[in-house]
Amino acid sequence: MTSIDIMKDKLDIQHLVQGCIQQDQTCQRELVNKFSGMLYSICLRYVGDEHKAKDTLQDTFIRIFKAMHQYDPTRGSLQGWMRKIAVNVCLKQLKKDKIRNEGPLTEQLSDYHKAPKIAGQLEEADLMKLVMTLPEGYRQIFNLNVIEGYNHREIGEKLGIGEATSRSQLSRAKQLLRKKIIKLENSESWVRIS
Amino acid sequence: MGENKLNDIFKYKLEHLQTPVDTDELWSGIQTKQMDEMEAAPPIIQNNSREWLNYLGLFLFMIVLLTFGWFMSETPVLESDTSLTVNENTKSAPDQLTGSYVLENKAAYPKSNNAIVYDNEIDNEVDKEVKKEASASNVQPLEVFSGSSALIANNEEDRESFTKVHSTTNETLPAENASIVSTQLTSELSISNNENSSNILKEDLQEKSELIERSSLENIDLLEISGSTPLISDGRLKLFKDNIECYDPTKKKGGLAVQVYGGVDFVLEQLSTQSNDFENYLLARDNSSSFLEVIKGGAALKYTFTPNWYAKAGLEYNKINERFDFETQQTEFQTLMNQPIEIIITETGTDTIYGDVEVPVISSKKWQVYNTYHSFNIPVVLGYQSPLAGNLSWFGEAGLLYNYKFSFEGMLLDPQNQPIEGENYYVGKIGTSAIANLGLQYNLTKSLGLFTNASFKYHFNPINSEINPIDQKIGLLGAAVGLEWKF
Repeated sequence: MTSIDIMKDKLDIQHLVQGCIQQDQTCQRELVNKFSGMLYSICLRYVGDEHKAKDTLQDTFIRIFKAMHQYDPTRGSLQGWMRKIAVNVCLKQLKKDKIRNEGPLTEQLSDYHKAPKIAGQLEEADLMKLVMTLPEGYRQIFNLNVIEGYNHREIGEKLGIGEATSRSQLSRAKQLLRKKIIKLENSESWVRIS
Repeated sequence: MGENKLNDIFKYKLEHLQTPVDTDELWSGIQTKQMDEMEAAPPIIQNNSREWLNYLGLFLFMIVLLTFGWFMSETPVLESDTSLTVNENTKSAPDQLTGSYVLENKAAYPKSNNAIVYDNEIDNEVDKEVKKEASASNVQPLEVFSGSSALIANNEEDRESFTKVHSTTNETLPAENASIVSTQLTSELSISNNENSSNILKEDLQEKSELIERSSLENIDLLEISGSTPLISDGRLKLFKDNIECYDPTKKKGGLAVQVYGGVDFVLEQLSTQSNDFENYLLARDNSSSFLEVIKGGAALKYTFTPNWYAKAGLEYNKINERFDFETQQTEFQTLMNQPIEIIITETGTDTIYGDVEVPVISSKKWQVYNTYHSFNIPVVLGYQSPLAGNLSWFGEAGLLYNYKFSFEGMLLDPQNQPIEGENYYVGKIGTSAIANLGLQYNLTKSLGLFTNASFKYHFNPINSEINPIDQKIGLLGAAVGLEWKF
């Protein structure tokens, strides 16, 4: 991407933002076309269900349109700002649905400290599917910590849980992911993490 | 392959992943939801109309106040049955005319507020003479107040007789000075308090009696006998003023005054959230902020339409200072060189692999921010004031406070508990609020007063904007001192 392209992209975004502030439906539609893919991925990762993810994505865009006048380009990119809104809408939706599953897994996970070799070779879609199959509570914490970069204190405050709970659930989420990847790996060699 | 590596894989591959979605279906769904929301929630246009209704409400409130004020100013106040008034225009009245006057019962004639009325007990001796003369001339003495009397002619003959009597008994009551009748210039009636008494029309008096003529001054509602000397002596006037409450009909009961004031407030804050998602955030916000001094100042125009009731409107500025303390934690990664990262166990033994390791380092930063809220308000109040003792009086006021402009300067936490500039998290106008004041006023001079009051304000609407998940309502409890200058 050349600097001209970057400049053009910035101008396009400024135009979209202004249009959305003025409730211009053409600009709103353009914004949907431009960013729906990225935001849909976030919704899928958090909600874990395609139908609910689409519903949440609609709510996300409505929230974005309403709050567009609050967006300050000097504080960060539009994508970053929209990502935060999408995450919040997803968490709100999940809380509303009360579909958490924070209970202990019946399956013994302590042996799955294996780093699957094929993890790096998995396609994005495969990884997405793996994340989507995580139990709700694990999925939220995994997404917030690993993808969004929140620390456990922030996650605890966001989800209304303790830091220790967040840590243990993240650990279990990772163990479960490893187990799922290993099942895909179909390999006998393994390593233990020090 | 370490744990961090696994994280990196997921982060790298999923963070910016774009999953295709049918945008037509999405757009259609968004539009449907927007329509549903507009039907379920008050649309923007309703908010605008509500704001417009606030203006209308204020306007109507002012109209009601002004109408009430006008009505009250048209109705003279009867302070007590025994209070007496004297027309200032009688300053030049002579001593010779003690007892030759017409009294008016205010209670019976509340509309006739421009008469010479006074307690004439001191003139009992003269009264007796007057009554005797009245009896001789077939005129009716009119008892108005205790010891007071007036002479009323029943008909033209009687009036002629009356004037003749006075003209012939001028030792104590010179006929040429004999009458003093007053009503307002616009009033047709001078006196009447029983069925037998007849009204004396000014015009009639002028036509029928050569001795009587209207005072030349427009504003003096006094009819004097032609060529008369002043009706009341200076000494007598002083006696009146020392012993009775004066009412000057040339001056209106109501009046304008300007007030300037300043003071301090204490903030009563009420935080709430409609979503359980933000309860922790609410707690964090609540624990982070504390209000410091709140100062206010303003000016108001006060219109007094009765001795007790007044209306007031003006402009007030409030500055609320808040301190915001919070701590944020940042995770930074430090790279440690040549650390054991993997131990590979094989049938032949173990093999340790060394490499660079990224270690998370959590650092915290304490924020101490001084925030400021500014608000410009238009208070419109109805007040009641009543004397306590001497120049001291108390007053109570209640009304509406319309917020013209509200702004915020400073930082706070966003819902992700990150420090942000909070300007966008607050509204530009709060709307209408309730206000009530209770205070004391001391009149330093006739036109200058010093007052102090305790005040309470409550904003019905939250001060936060829609993006802020915390509903922040504030009330202000405070005190002020000020000066009032009467026109």
